[in-house]
Parts: sequence; structure tokens; C-alpha cells
Amino acid sequence: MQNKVIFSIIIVTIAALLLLIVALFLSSVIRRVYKERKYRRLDHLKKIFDKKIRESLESGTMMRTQSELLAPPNSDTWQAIEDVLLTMTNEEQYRDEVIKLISTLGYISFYEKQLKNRNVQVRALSVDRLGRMNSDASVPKLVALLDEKNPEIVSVVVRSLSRIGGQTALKAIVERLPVILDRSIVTRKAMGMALQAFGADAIPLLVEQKAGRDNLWVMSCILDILSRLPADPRSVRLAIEHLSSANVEVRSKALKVLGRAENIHMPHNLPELILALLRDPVWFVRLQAIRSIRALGNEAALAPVGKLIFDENWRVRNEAVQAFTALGERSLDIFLEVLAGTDRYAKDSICEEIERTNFSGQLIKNLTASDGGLQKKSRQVLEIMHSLGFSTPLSEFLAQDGDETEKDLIRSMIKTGSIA
Amino acid sequence: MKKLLIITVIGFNYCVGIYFGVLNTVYSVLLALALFVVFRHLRRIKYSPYKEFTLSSETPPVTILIAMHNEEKVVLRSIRSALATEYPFFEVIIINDGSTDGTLQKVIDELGLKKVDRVYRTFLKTKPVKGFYYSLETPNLLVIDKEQGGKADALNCGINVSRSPYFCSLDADSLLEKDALIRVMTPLIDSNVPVIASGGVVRIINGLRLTDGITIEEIDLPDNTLLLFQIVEYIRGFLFGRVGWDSLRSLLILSGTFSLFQKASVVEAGGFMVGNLAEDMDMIVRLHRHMLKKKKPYRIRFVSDPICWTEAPDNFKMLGRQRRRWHLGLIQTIFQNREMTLNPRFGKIGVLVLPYYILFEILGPVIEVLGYPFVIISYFLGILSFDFLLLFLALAIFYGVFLSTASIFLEELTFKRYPKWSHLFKLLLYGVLENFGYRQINSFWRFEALIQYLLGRRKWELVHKKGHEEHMPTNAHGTPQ
Repeated sequence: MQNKVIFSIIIVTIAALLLLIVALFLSSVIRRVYKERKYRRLDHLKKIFDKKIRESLESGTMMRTQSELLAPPNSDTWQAIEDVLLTMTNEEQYRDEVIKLISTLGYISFYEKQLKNRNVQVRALSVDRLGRMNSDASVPKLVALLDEKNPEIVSVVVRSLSRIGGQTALKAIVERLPVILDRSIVTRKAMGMALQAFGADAIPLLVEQKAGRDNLWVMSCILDILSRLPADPRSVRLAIEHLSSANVEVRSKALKVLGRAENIHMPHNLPELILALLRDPVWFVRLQAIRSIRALGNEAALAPVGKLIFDENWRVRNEAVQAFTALGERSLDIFLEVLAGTDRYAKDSICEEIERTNFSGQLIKNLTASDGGLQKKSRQVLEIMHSLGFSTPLSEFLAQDGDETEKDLIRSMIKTGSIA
Repeated sequence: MKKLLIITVIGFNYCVGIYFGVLNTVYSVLLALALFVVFRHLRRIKYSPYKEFTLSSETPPVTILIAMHNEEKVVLRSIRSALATEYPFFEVIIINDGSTDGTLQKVIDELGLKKVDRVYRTFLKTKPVKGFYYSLETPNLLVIDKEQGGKADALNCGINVSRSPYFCSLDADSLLEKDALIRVMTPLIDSNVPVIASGGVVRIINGLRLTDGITIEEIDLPDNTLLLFQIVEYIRGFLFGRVGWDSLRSLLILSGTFSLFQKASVVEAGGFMVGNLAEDMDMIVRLHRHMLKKKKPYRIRFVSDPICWTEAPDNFKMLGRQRRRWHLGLIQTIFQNREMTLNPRFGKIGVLVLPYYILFEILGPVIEVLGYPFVIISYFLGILSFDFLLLFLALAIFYGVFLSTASIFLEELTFKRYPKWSHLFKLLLYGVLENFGYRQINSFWRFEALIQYLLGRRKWELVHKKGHEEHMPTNAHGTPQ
């Protein structure tokens, strides 16, 4: 009896599995047939409508053609026309007319209705489509969705608003900035990217955002976004105001803004303000300070950066070394000072950077330079590099065709450890 | 004596029945989850911002690490595909792990590299480095030549030299699709909880036709039967196994062929374990262990759309070596991290996932291999009905076929990378055929590995790759295009 029951269970299970296998097999086949037909038809329709729409737009007969473009939502024709129109929104010459056409054909109202759908993914897709369709008229409806709790929806809304652009969308995002920043990391990142897309238009609103005055974390985010936007005197002023902030993130981001502010008139005392931050207790503020000083292009201000070649943090040391290597021959004095010292890490970093940037090639050429001082300093740097094991540029130079006088000097250095 | 034997055999048979039931229930749950997740992912991908991430400053820099040992026939392909990746900020570090063939020289010559002096600073201890090679023409590429220490040692060396907060390990015989890196990075950017590792799908490159060595011109299936079985296996493993485990937040394996890691977490966890034969699995288990011990929030993710193509063994000898190594690595990893098993401190990883791996992955081949003699003994002892045996075998086979068919259905739903009708039917056919011989051979290799482990024979069996000998197209300056 018991065996019979077990037998029956197994047989039923096998039958069920067999049915499932057949169902899956048929689903795969039917789906493939259906999709192949659908995509073939879509491709065909796209070709037809692409031609038709372009011709109508070019001949100015769109009013007459419009009725031929009307199709029931989600039908193949509807999808094909949508794809064609979305592609054409990226073409400057048709952009405005295509955006109007999208609205006339009912796409906007369809997706706006979908914004009320209970399914998050359907809502998100509709938001995304409205953004791609540059639907100005949908901005108020999209803005209302910024207050949703779901970070997925908020992120898509922020992105779509940035695609549509315009002051209303921008204001709505900036007004909600503290809330969006607080909601999740995902929405914060999406907002950073979106505000970047608004470009310089976002600057005045960001600079005037009041929440940043009371909330230092919000201020650091504002400064971070400003640092990725085009350089602007208003951003620079805000950054300078916050250089001495008690919040480390704010100080660092303020420096980042200044580091990107090329060709902007800066106050005379700015290098001093930045130099003070070279002594900041937090390493990434010091690192950012070096970058800002480099960006200012003020060589005189670079001298104090030399001390950071001995910084306790390797990233700061490397940044300092890179700043000096970029100066080329003008950095030789600082390099010699460090290379004569005892800090092996600092010495290695300098040698590595000299080799990596191929500055070593210039130093070798300098061995026969007419400027005696330059010749001597270059020789000393090469000697120290050789003694520290950074000899590859020398041996490679010897292996190539080149000036025999320079080669003799190098041979002598390799042999004796120094140039006679 | 006979009575004892009968009791043992009956006991074993019951165990097999229960084992089979539980295992298939787990598989069914994973499959159901995978179907749900894949459908959701497919809808999400329509509005996913991954393309925007390629232009975003929110996208963190990544170092691609390629460890190579005697891979002169294949290494250029992986370097070229790595350099051609569409990602905003990345560097590629190639680690030559003591190759004895012309691998290093080939890379140097083809890429026009020059020796540079660099200081090797170690967060993770490795075998000594012999030299660095670099070219100003390709400033985001660095080649390290080091003494042989194994793949884990080579990856640790790459981590020491890398300057990005994330690194992606890539096998030297792989081909990375251009958008694979940004896709595998997406969960790291798009997550509220720190994602410390993320892996993508690995597919078999054999059968692909490539133009310029890295662009897929046509996907075709290979003629080799063994490779076809492996293609079905990979589809099943990645599309339902990993997706299912990922949805349960219980991933224990990300393929070392193509995985992304947060460098700081890997360094904190001690880097890749030298001597472990499955350094990828070991790394993931130790990351779980480290983060759970420290009570830090984290996620380890599998993403089903980034694809990396890799070469698979096309003969029994090499496949056997690979499978034994995988299984030995699995046992080693579980054993080395045994502190976690059944330890509530490690949450569901300790209480559920690791016991599952011990019972069904490590001991699975034992049950399967011992099952055959037990069937014969049962028959001779007269305690086995022949009808029952046939039914049970049919059930096992039909279930296996069902899983393979479901995985191929998932493939149809998602990527449809095998576009021809002949591909679909071939894959379905091989999903059936693998139950007659291939699965049993696999179980035997895994059983062998278990015996080798018990006997203390835990060596890395080298799998030779055939590859396609190609030269990198270069421009007038000798720079890779």
C-alpha cells in the first residue's frame, strides 16, 4: 500500500516535470517566433515611419501626415513611431517639432496616466520616457513625484527633470535638495549627476540655497556639485566663505571648487588662505589644497607644498611630488633638497615620478646644457636616482643612438656611482 | 552480517531519498527566485542609468587586474578587451606570475612597453617583483613581472600596486564585453549599502567569431560535445544558481574570471589566500566572515547582464583537471572557514548556506558515486524493486532536464546570446543528454577531488588553453588602437 502511494507520487511528479519541460520548451519556441516576428515588423515599421516623418517635417506637411501616425497605445505601430521620435529628439534640426509631435500623438498623456500606476517599475519607466520626450508640460507632475518615498522613483524623476531642463525643474530639485540628499545615497548620486546636466543654470540656485547655511552636510554636497559645474565667480565666493569651515568635508569641497576655478578672478589673499590648509589635520584636505594651489598656477605659492613631500599620508606625498614634477626644471631645487634627505619614501616617490613622466629624458639632455647650474643639478638628481636603483633611463639611453658625450658621462656614472 | 548490510543499505537509500528531496526543493526555490528577479531586472534595465554612469564623476576608478602564467596564446585578447572597455576612469595592471614561455616578451613587444623603476610597496605580502613595464603611449597600462606564486599571489601583487578604490579580476584568457565593467559596477554606485564585491556572467568563448580580436562578429556554438555540455552548465549556473543565491543575499561564489571588489575590504580581509585552489570563492567567504565579524553593513552582488567570455577546456583531461581543482578549492575554503559553519554569529551564511555547501556540494558526489554500488547491492539483496529504481532514475533525469530547460528559457528571456534556431535546439538537446554520462563523470571528478583532499594531495592542476594566436593591431607609433 505504502509502496503504491510512493509510486503514484513519483509518477505524478514525473508527469508534472514532463509537462513543465514541454511547457518551457514550447514557451521558448513560441516566444522566439513571436519576438522574431515582432522585431522584424518593428524594424520594418520604423523604417517606414522614419522616412515618412522626416519627409513630412522637411516638406512642412506634418499636419496632414499626423492622422496616419495615430495608433492604439502599446501596438507595434505605436512602439515603432515612439522609437523613431525618441531617436529624432536627439537631432537638433527636428528636435522642437518632434517634441510637439510626441505630445500631439498622445504619448505624453499616455505616460502621464501611467504615473498613477501602482507598479513602481511601470511608474519609473513612464517617468523615464517623459524625460526622454523632453515633455515640459509634464514637469509639474514629475515634480510632485519628487516627494515620493521610493528612492528608485525619486532617482528616475531627478534624471528625467534634468533631461527636460528649465528653471521650474531646476528650482524644484534645488528646493528639495536637503530632503533628497537625506533620503538615500542613490538619490544623492542621481541628484549630483542631474544638477551637472543643468550646467551653469544651477549655480545661482545652488549658491543661494538656504538649507546649506544651516546644514554643513548639505553645504558640502552643494560645494561638491558646484565643483563639477563650470567655473563661476559666485561658486568661488561661496567656496572662499567656507574655507575655514569647522566641517572637514566642507573645507575639502570648498578647495575642490577653487581647484577647478581657472580663469576666474581670485582675491589676492587666496593663496594664503589655501596655504593655511596645507597644515590641515585631515589628509584629504591637505591633498585638495595641493590640487587647488596647482590649479591657481601660482608657482611662488607652490614652495610651501615642498614640505608635503614628507607628509605622513602617501596620497598627499604623491600629490606633492606630482605638483613639482609638472613644474619641470624649476622643481630641481626642491627635488635635490628631498633627495639629499633621509626620507626614503619621499625619495622613491620623486624618482618614480621623474621616470614615469619621462622627465628623466630631459635630465639626461641637461647633462650637456650650456647652463652650468642646470647641468649640475640635473647630474646630481640622476646620480641620486642611480644610487637608489632608478637606473633604467640611463641604461636605456646607452642602448640607443645618441650623443656620445652624454653617453660617456652616463657610463662613468654607472661605473663609479657618480659623474666624475 | 547480512542483516546489518540490509539495514545499512536501507538506511542509505532513505538518506538518498531525503537528500534528493531537499536538494531539489532548494533548486526549485532558487529557480523560482531567479525567474522573479530576472523579470524584474529586465524591466528595470529599460530605465537603468548605467549608460549615464560612463560619463559620471560618481563612477569610481577601477583597476583591472589580469594575472598571467604561461598564457602567450591568449593573453593579448584579454589585454585588448580590457583596454577597450567603456569606463570613465580605469587602469589595467597585468601581473606576469613567473611565466616560463614567451608571455611577458609578447606583451612587451606588442604593446611597446619599456622597463621602468618603481618601488614595490606591500600591503599584502607577495613573492618578489622583478620589474615593471610601462609606456607613456598607454599610460593606463602597467605590466608587473614577478616570481611565480600562484594566481592569488599575483592578484595580491596587483592590489599592492593598484591605486583605485576598486579592482576587477579578469582571467588572462577572457574577453570582456565593452560595457561589462560599467554594468558590474552599477550595483556599487546604485546601492544604499556598501557593495564590497560584485560579479557578472561568464560565458564560453569557444565558438565565437571575432573581428579585430576583441569584437564579437558572430556567436556560434562549438562542434565539440564537451564544450556544448559546459555551455548548458554555465547558463544554468549563472542564470539560475547565482541569481537565486543573490536574491537571498547568500552568494558564496563569484567567478574569479570576472569579479569586482572593493580594495579596502579585500586588504582588510587579508587579500587573496595563497595556496587556496579556489581563490575566488575563498575571497568571498572571507569577505563575509570579515564583515560579519566586524558587524559592518555590506552586500555582495551578482549582476546578470555584464558578460565576460572565457575559454573552456575542450577535452576530458583538461576538464577533469579543472573540475577537480574547483572541488578541491571548495573543500579547502569551507574547511579553512569552518569557524563560520553553524555559527549564528555569521547569520544565514553560517547557519544555512555553509551547511548547504557541505551537505550538497562537497558531499553530493559521494552520495551520487556511492549510489551506484548501493543500487547493485540493494538489487542483489532483494530489497530494491526494479520498477522503483527505474522510476527514481526517471525522476532524477527529468528533474535535471527540467532545470536545464528552465535555464535555457531564462537565457531566451534575457540575453538570447545564442540567436539561431539550431542553437536553441542544440542547447535543449544537450540539456537532456548531459544527464547520461556527463553529469556522472563530473560527479566522479568531484569525488576524486574529495579523495585527493583527504589524502592531502592538494595541488593546482594546470589547464592548458588553446587560444588564437593574434597580434594586436597597432597604430603608427606602436600604440594599441
